[in-house]
Amino acid sequence: MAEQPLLPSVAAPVALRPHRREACDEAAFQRLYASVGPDVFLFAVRRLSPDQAKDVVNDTFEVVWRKRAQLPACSTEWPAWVVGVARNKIRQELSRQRRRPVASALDALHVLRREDLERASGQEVAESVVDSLASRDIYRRLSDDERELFDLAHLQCLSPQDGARVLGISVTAYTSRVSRLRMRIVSLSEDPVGSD
Amino acid sequence: MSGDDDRGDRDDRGDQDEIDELRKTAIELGFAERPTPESWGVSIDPPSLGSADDARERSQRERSQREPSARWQRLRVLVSRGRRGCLAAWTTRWTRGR
Repeated sequence: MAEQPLLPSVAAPVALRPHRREACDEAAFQRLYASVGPDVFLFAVRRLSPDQAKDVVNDTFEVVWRKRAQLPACSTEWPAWVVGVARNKIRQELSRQRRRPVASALDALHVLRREDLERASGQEVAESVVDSLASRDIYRRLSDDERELFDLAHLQCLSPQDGARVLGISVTAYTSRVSRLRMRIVSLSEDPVGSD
Repeated sequence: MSGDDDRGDRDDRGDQDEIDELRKTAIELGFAERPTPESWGVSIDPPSLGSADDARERSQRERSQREPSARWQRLRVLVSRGRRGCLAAWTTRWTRGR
């Protein structure tokens, strides 16, 4: 009687075969910048100034180009990796601002002046493409973590799975937080005076 | 197996629905639907590669044009806090070029 082989001799399923690493050459980098760059800017701009957000984009892609050999093997995972780098850059900039109280106070004053100007003129600058005053007020009253989640959830380049990966949590936890955040901004909109 | 795949697809759609719901609510509350760099008055230029060095240099040049140097920032903080001792030490270090 012939011995039975210990393992069935079937070919490995395609999904288990190792992926061929996709190289980030210059053309791939330019495509990545074109598709993810505006999202990185959007991820940063509500928490920083437009100029600082532009710096975050520059700094992030500088890191991406320098460390392109460390990009995930599959290019579909590159946007989440890039946003992860941007997340660190934004945190660094925010902590730098906290260490510069005078400069931060001047920034806040600048924002205040702009809003006063808008109120006085009775119309908001570029309102159709930029947040309304009421929404900016809601955003300002969110916690740091809530702001980050809000910005992350608005990135078109990321799936819920990618968003969860950026924050280092499960997809279930990510969508639960998003759901709670939605309820929170609704409740803030119903209390425009802002008791908190 | 295909049943598992179907359930996985349904879960993915449910996850995306939560995100879409947040975006929809945000728009209703007055957040911009899809703000672009241009709508904030900024254009982000594609990097010219050769180039991480070029990008870094350009970024630093832009920053230095609109911000006082780190030294002046530090001086401003010291003055605003009225810390004369620190200010004197800082001035000494600066004049020695350290």
